[in-house]
Amino acid sequence: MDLKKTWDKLQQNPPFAEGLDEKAIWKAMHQQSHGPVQKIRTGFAIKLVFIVVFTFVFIYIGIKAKEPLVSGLQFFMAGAYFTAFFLFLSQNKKIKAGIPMDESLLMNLKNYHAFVTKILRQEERIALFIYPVALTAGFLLGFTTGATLEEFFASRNAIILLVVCWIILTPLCHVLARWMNKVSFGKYLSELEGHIQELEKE
Amino acid sequence: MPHLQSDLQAQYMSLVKENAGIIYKVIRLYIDNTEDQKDLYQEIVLQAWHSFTRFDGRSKFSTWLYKVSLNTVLTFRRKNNRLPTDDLEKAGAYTTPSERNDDTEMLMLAIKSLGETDRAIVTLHLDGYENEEIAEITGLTKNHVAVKLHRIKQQLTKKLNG
Repeated sequence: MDLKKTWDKLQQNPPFAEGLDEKAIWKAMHQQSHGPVQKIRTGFAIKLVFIVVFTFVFIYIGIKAKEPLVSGLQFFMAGAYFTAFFLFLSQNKKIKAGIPMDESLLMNLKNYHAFVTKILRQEERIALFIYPVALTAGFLLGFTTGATLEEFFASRNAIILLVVCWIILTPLCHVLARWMNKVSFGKYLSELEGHIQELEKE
Repeated sequence: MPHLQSDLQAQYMSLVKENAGIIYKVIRLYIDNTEDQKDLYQEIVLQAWHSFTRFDGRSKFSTWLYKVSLNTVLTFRRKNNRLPTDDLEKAGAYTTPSERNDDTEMLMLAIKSLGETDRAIVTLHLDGYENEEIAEITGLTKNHVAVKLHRIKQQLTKKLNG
């Protein structure tokens, strides 16, 4: 069999002709991508929205809280979220840029995968230091609805309960955050990892 | 600014229309399902449009589009579409030579049973691309392409004649 002649014969019939239409090309240019990179982008955009919403929630509670310590803790949380917003925003630029399809694919896939994984791990680790503050803020907010801060500091049981909350809920929140990141991004990161492995095999 | 953007769009659309065959070719090599093929076609047009501002004309548009198409298919395909060698053997065993449309079908099956990069290398070669251009598209060195091409041709001949 002459490979070249057979190949040329194979090229005569395109599989679906409607793609040649200018209207179809224009539509394709302006649609949204359906690939794993787009899903990761969407996931990060949702994270950004949550950060903004929670920043305002903390500010609102901080203003409404009667006790200065409770307000302070709420404002600290708002500040942490505000900082996280700008950190995420700068990283989001690289996430949004995606993988350039006209450059070396394997290298770019690896870099993108490593970058997204790094951001998620970083976020989980930083959050570990925020959980105890958030727990204290929530605990004191709840406590001060029925009692005063002086009563809290005078109650040994209340302080022990707060410490127990730290011990139990901090690792639990960490595990939950990791699980949520896995649900939101794991599938798409595995998809990219699969492509990397296949390309490396070649 | 909108005027420049629409000029760029018009230029891009005309180039894609002229070179649509390249996109079809790459899709057919890696994807069998017609719906997935259509989705991939749209994805390639979109990805190439996003990268179009970086196209500097140093290589031919067709070479550039081939690279974008190949990279997009390898990144966005839903599952491995490589045919197991068994399928090719079955196709050969259960059809008579006259039933094989059939050289073309056999060739396609044989190419689809190759590894992902190998498929691209051999089809680019059959399309008349020089080893240097193939190297640029696949990201391999020129020498590596030559060695691979020699091995792939041997593999294909063995599969098609054996």
